[in-house]
Amino acid sequence: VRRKLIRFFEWRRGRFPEDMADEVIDRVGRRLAEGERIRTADAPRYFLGVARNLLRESWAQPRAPEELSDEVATSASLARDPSAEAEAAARTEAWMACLDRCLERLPVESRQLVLLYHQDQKRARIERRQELARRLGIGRNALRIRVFRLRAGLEACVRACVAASGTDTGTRSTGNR
Amino acid sequence: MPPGDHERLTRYLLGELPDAEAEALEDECFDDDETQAALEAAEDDLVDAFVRGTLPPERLRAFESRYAASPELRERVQFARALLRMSDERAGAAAPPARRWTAAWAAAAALAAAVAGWALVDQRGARRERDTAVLQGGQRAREARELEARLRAAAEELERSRAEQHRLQGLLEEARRPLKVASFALAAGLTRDIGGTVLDLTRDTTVVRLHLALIAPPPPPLEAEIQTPEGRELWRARGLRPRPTAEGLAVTLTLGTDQLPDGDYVATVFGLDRGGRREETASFAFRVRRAR
Repeated sequence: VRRKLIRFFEWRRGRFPEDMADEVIDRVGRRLAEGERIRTADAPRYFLGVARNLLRESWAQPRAPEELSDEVATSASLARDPSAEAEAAARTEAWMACLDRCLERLPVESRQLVLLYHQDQKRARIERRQELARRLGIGRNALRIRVFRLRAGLEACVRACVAASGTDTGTRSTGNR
Repeated sequence: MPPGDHERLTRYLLGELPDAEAEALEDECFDDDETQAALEAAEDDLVDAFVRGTLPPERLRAFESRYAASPELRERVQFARALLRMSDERAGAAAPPARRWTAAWAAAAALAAAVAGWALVDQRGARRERDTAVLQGGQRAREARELEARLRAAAEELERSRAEQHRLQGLLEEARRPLKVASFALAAGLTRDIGGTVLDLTRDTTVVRLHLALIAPPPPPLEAEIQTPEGRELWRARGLRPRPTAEGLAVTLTLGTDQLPDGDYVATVFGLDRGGRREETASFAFRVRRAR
């Protein structure tokens, strides 16, 4: 539930998704401690309801204008900064090295599925994915979800590797997947 | 998932769904793990399309607006960039075997002249060969054995190539010399009146690195900006982390010299409080002066 809450706040542009998810869990915990009863089957929706309330509360506290303009200015100035481009390229190399290591830990079939799934563009990609689904005897949506789960595990491995190697000088890693 | 639902998921992610429909989808996600997974998979597709540059303009704008505001999404993009690049590299290895090997070694030779740390890349190439062959279907076991033998041969070839790589690396370092980096360590609080740091740059300096020493930095990420004494902002960076240096903890800013004409500047480092608001941590006055 916590993971779903974090994703919910990310998609709804909550300012601090992890903190907000924890706040939801705290609130639900408090209500249970006060004697409120929640049926197990209703629990996920209950958490979601509390999350929506919290989100509306946060909207009621508008962001400072300078906070918004900071984001735009940063995005623009980074785009112009050649040294930032060089650092981004170095960062991609570090992520590639970690990805290489993490791929090696996957069973060969899974590794190949992830790599093949992401190859090519447009028409060639569609045909490749149809062929993969046919070979695995599953539908395209099932294939998409299977690859998503493999990719999520891989991404978590790569983020941990990058953090451990201390090579990423960029954004913070929260690893919500 | 019914046909067209992928489009609904994408519209939700970009904030294009009306509230009622968005809430209905969120309800589904909390009730059903498969819908949640489908939504996250749709986000992966969106990120991939962004990295490949295939998003239509109006969706690109919506995506970039989310991207600018979300460190989490920026990391997801970073991961996608690596994954797609590696997938494409390995796709390149799926050509017929003879051409594949010739190309791989030609690429390795070129690589030795172009980048340091090529041994890692070469290992990637060998793994790529092995992985690709395993996939080709049919006689997998036989191909895997053949590839193990080829891997061993590749390892021997790698050893021989290393000597050549050392020689080429020397040439590469020579070639890199025109890019001249000047590094300066700055202490907080110095002003021009009491002898703020003067950065004397030679005419051929192209990159300046400023190590800003921080005595008790707040938790990362930090931000930094450079302004003129009149308060005109010239440069800004986010997501900085202090690193240990000979002078203690410091954040490092890297700028092209074209961004710093001769003159006086103030670099300021900020931490973020729990509300995400910036709090000044330290400021550093310095003067840039180029040799004539």
